[in-house]
Formats: sequence, structure tokens, C-alpha cells
Amino acid sequence: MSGIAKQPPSSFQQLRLLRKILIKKDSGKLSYVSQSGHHGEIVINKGSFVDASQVSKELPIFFSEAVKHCSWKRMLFGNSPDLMNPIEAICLTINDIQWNHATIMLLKRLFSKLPAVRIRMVPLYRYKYNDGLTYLVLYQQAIKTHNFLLKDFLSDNDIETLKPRVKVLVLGYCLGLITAIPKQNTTTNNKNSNVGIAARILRRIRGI
Amino acid sequence: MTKKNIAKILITGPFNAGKTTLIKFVSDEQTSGKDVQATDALAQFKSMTTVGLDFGILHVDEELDVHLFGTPGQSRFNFMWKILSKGALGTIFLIDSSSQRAIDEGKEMYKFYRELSDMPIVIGATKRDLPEAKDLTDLASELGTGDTPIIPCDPRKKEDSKLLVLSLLQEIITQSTQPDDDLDLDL
Repeated sequence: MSGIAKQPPSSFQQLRLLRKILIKKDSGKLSYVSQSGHHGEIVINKGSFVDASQVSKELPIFFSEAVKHCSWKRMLFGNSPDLMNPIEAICLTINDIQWNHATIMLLKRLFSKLPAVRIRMVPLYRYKYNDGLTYLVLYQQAIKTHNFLLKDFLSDNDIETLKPRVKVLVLGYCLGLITAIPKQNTTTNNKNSNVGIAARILRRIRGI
Repeated sequence: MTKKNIAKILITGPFNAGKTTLIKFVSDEQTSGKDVQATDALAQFKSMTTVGLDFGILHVDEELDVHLFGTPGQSRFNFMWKILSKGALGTIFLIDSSSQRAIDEGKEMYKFYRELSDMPIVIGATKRDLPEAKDLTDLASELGTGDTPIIPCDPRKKEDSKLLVLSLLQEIITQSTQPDDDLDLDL
């Protein structure tokens, strides 16, 4: 995963890279250059952010605009004394983020292209996220719908409606709470495993 | 005739949280525990209560039925909790978020289930419309639920009852599958 990611001149590819790092609980240094020319670095140790004060300065910039490029250099660290839980760090950042109209529409386009997803419920209220309700709406829509597509969650064009919705998607995407529905050749194929049984009951309950 | 497989789901939680109502909405057949007049100190909160257990059956397909067991809420029936939880796919834990008494009892009860096995649990917080209802953060802290999500719900609404069962089923699925990292945002 090390090296400079090849990408269009300006994109939100930093989200994809951060997601991979956090899901793998990887360690190293994430470097990026924002569209406005800011050179930033975020150090991550086993999936947690290192240096809370640095992170609280860097993450708002990291999330606020598209990047020209971003890269990841894997490194090994010992125990870091000042680790910040990634859920809390991202929740606090997304709480205050201000995207302009064009950025919200860009993010809407990106998320609308994703295949069917599943949403994982986590107690965001524990991590000081101030709009758990929008996340709950996303979760409810997803769980009630077979092959749920994010474009259905983002169908509104009103920017004030879209803003909180895009926020929970960025948060859920980066933290790995939004995952692709696995293809049918995985565990659900064994219809008598707990997972297979749960999947069958899930389909039935949706139809009640 | 093919023998049907049986999956079991447990609906639990302290007294007066909405367990009987939830089972009613997600079952094809229901046998309610006998509703009797509450005679102990709880009578001031609820006139009728379930003695024994609630039981519902949901027919999934030709080969599978789900049995939903609602445990009695009063702590004096705690000998039944362990028996009923044996072999369950998971547990829905309902709690009246407006009652300090229910929360105090719920704390012990939740701890009991957590220590009993590592089966998936989802928590439904009911009576959110009452002014005494606790904030979810405070409720989680008092119950000691850690990272187990608490879902606000009203079991009197069919959609909310369905949501809780769907949440439990999804939790069972996600606990058994690794998150993938190939969900790419592409321009």
C-alpha cells in the first residue's frame, strides 16, 4: 500500500486511502497535498491517530477539500503515548466541517456510484458525534432495503438536506462502517450456518 | 415431510419495556404468557404483567422457523434467563429509558447476558417520547453497554419492532464477516 497513489489532478482519494489504513489498523505516515497547496502529514499507529493536538489541526484540512495527491508510507512504531481513537477524531472533525456547494455535489456524485452497501451501527453518541439521527436514518434505510444503494440516500438535491447526509457517509466510509455487500459465494451460501440462517430470516422480516 | 430447522431469538429486558408487543409484530403465530395483575411493588408502574414467557413463531421458508422467546422481565424469574438463552442466535435487549428502576435492573440483567455468552446483542431503548427518558449517552453509561449500539425505538410501531430484529440479524452477519476495503470512491 506504500507509494504515491495515482489519481486524477484533484479528487477525494484521501478518503479511500484513510479507509484502507484504518480497516487494516496499519501504521505509518499519510502525506497529502490539498488542492489549495497545503502539505499535510498524519501519523497513524495501528489504526489510531498519533498526537491529538496535531491531528485536531490536520484532520479538518484533510477532510475539507479534494487533494492533488496523497501517499502512505508504512512505518513501525513502538507504543505511542498520545493516541487518539479514530472514531472520535473523525466524529469531532466532521461535526465542524464546512463544505461548499461544489464539494458536497462532488461527494454526492462519488458516493452515488458505489455498489450496494451494508451499514454497521455503532454508538456514535459515545464519540461525540452531534448528528446521530442522520446516521440512524441511513442505517434504517439500509437495513430495510435489499441491495441498498447510497444514491437513494442522496436523491435530494437540496443542499441543506444533503449536507448532513454527506457528512455521515464520509464518516461511515472512512471508518469502514459502510461496506460492500459480499458476493453470494461467501458465508451466506451455507444456508445452515448462523450467518446463512440470519440472512434468510432478514429477507423474511423485510417482507412482513 | 421435511423436518424444519428452528432458529431461536431471545427478547429480553426488564419489566414493562415492550417485549410482548415486539413479539406480536414479528410473529406469524404468538402465544402470550399469561397476563396477570401485577401484585408486587411493580404494580404501581403496570397493572398487568407477563408470567411465564412469551413465545412467537415466524415461518421463514419451507425449511426454517424462528422461535422468539420473550423472557419474563422481573428479576425473580432470572433462573429462566439462562435456560432460555441456550442455543439462541442472538438477543434483543429492550429497556424502558424513562424508568430509573428499569435501568438499574437492566444494568444487572445486561451484565448477566454479556457474561453468559458472546452472542450478538442489540439494545432497544423504548419510551423515548416521555420527558423522563434518558439521553442515549447517559443510558449507555448507566447500563455499561460499551460499544454495543442502543437503538431508539417504539415497539408499538411495527416498523420499529422490525428494525430491532433486522438490526440483530445484521449484527450476526457482520460479526462473522470481515470488513472489506475494496469499496472504492472513483471519479
